[in-house]
Amino acid sequence: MKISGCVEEIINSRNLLSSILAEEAITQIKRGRVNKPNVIWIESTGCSGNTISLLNANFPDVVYLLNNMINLKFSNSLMTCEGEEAFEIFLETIKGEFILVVEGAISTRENGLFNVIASYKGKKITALEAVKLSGNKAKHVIAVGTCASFGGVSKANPNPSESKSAKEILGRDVINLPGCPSHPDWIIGTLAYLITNGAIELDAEGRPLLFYGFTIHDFCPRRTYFNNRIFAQNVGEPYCMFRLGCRGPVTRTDCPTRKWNSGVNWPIGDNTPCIGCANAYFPDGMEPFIRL
Amino acid sequence: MEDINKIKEDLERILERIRELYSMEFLALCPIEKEYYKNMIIDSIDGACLKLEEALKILRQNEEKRELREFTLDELANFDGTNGKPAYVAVNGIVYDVTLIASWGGGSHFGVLAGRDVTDEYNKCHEGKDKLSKLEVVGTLKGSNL
Repeated sequence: MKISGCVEEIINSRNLLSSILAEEAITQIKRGRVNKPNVIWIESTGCSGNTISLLNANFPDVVYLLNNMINLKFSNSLMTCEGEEAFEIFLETIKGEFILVVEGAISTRENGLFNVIASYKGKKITALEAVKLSGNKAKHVIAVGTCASFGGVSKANPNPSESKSAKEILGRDVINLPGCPSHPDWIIGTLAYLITNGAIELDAEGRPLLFYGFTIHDFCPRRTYFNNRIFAQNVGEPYCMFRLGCRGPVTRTDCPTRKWNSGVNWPIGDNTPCIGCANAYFPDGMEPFIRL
Repeated sequence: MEDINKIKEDLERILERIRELYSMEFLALCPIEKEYYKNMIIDSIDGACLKLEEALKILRQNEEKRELREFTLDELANFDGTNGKPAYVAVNGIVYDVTLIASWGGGSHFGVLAGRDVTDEYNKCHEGKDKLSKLEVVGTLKGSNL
């Protein structure tokens, strides 16, 4: 079974998958079997949510990740360099081998002028330009968050910035890690897997099967209520929220076992229906979020 | 009901047989003999599964078919899946029940709400795909040509 690791991970619900993957990657880097990859993180037309989510990572935490697993060469939000100096690092990095991480959809209106990420020698560098410049040279492109993966909130109707997903812009294989935001474990786990194995098994929508192999409904703690047709009539009732518009059955993530905020809780654990934030049709196709 | 009772008796007989085989397997000394009894047990379980399938078939046949009714668009609008009401949609003049269909949580499906004639939306997204045969038909739409 190719996804046996994933099944085990979910059944055991110990959520150690990404930390095991990260440990393995770090060990291999230390032994010199693989190189510590350069990573460029371009924050495009988004809300920085995925950066914030990444900062919330633990086992391994983000400092450990940055020190031991990757060389984060460029990140609009996290890097300490600024201005032209920062963009020079970007230009230097894309000459070699690197992994590109795109956060947020990419605005294409007015040639991308709605999202300028740098100014270099008097010229405004748009996110569109930067993604195009680096996207085709990158070893892997990881689209982090629903916006980068499928357009998400940035592309929602009426889409004034004419945003597009990373795949639409680049036209090459992109590893999609949807979620609003993407879970830090998904990001770190995928990076670690790519470092050690070179490639990761994806589904038809470009999502790693490791983290997106099952629907939320499959492992929902309230699944027995659904099977016995016991439905919540109103928010706050501790039963199946399917009749309130829960999108668990159409959303593929491992939220029920991984949970959020360092594994503290998740929407259904807090009596809120799933709004399908990791779905390709989020948010337009997932509305109404609650139907009473 | 008679058929079901007969199947129940058969199942009880199979259970009896499995118990018997189990004790024989326990008492046997030769490993080959043990293996033989184990295989017999598996065969008996297979037989029981077939009986259960038969029972299910009979139950499905006996299941009362819901009486088909005719809906006007106004009537259909009541069945929008809110407040615990069932969720119905009409496609090509036929009304389907989508209350418990996984992708129809809360009577909404990728931005399409229940309680309406959704023929256009259906044709736009699922043309050429057979999504309707799995749904339960509850009636027809009044004034449609079908």
